[in-house]
Amino acid sequence: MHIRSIIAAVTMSIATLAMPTMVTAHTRVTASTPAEGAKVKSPRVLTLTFSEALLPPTVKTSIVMTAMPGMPNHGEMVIRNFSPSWSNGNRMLKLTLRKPLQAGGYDARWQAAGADGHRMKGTISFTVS
Amino acid sequence: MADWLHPGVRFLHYALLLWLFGLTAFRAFGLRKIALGPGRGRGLALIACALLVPLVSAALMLVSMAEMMGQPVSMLDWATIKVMVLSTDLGRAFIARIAMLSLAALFLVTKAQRALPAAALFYGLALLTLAWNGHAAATEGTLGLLHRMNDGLHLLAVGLWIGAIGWFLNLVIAAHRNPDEIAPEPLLDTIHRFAPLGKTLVAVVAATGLINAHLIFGLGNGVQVLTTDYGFLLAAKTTLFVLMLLLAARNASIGRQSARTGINQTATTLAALRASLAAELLLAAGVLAIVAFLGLASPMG
Repeated sequence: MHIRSIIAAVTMSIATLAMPTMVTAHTRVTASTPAEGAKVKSPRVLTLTFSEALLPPTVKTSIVMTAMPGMPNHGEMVIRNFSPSWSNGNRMLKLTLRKPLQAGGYDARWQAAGADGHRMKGTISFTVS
Repeated sequence: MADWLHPGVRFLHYALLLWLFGLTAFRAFGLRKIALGPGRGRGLALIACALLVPLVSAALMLVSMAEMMGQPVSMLDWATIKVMVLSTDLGRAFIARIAMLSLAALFLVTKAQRALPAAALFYGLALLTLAWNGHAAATEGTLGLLHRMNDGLHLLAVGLWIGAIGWFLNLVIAAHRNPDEIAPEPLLDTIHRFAPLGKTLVAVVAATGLINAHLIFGLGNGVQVLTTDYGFLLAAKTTLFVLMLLLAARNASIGRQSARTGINQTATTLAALRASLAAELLLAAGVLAIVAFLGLASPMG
């Protein structure tokens, strides 16, 4: 290899390291209200902020009541009365409930694909007092 | 969905598209000086692949969309496909690609005037759209555009490299079997003259690959990435790439020796080249198989 090629390769490598990077991982939730593990009072709105813009047609969300005070063997109950809306360039998903959530344990479950086409899923668990 | 289906279709799609681009571009612009036998270069295999690749691309679109929706391909309905195509860049890239591949096939099948350069152009454009269906698509803003352009350049250089290997192998085998059909001397001369272009292509592949890696996970995070499946696959891909470089250097050395010694050693030279090019092509297939899985893995675990 010629000396010029070596110099070009080294220059290229240094220039590459100087470039900014997005550090791409697959889609994940970076923030939410309520937050993971939080105890809140009767929320009517849940928000999920994602690490990247999602493809809205691929998104599936559900709110599931997993526990109810005074009922130790409470099974999972799907809460259906909410509507989703997007903001912040499809990074933030807002789930607006028709009625505030009653006391109990809840999961906000999501599945979605990001711009890279990879489908990911996750759960935010919280308690309503 | 079967675990092998998505990577399997991705492999077939990459292999066909890169090979068709490399072959048509190389044949149209790089090898005009070699006398080819009748029918060579636009044979049945080329036409069959040209007709097959839009179908493979459409199949990949459906398999990808089904995976994004989290459902089997058989459950995918027209409304979902329509909304994905109309409302996402990824869907529009799929449609643009299928259109380009169909146009390229049309040129090749009808044997229109300047069919090979036109097909090469459409295959090149189709390759560029692949950047909207992978990790490069996740980078946003100006950096995202730069990432996609870099990814496109990487694919074009890889296509030309694979096209050169495949086509030289094809010609070397033909020249070895039947020297009357393809004269070995101009072929060996062309292979020798290919060396500078080959080096440039390898340099572009390496540099754009490096930039891609940095934009996907940040080269500073390399050690952490190596502990993931993605890192393992990337290390395997890099190893095969280095082995390909060694074989490419061997090909160039055989070409140099042949230029020095003249035509006396033609049969030995062709046999050595045949083995070396076949091994290089096999390694290229290995790289594409890894890429078929790599594009579906997450670099950060």
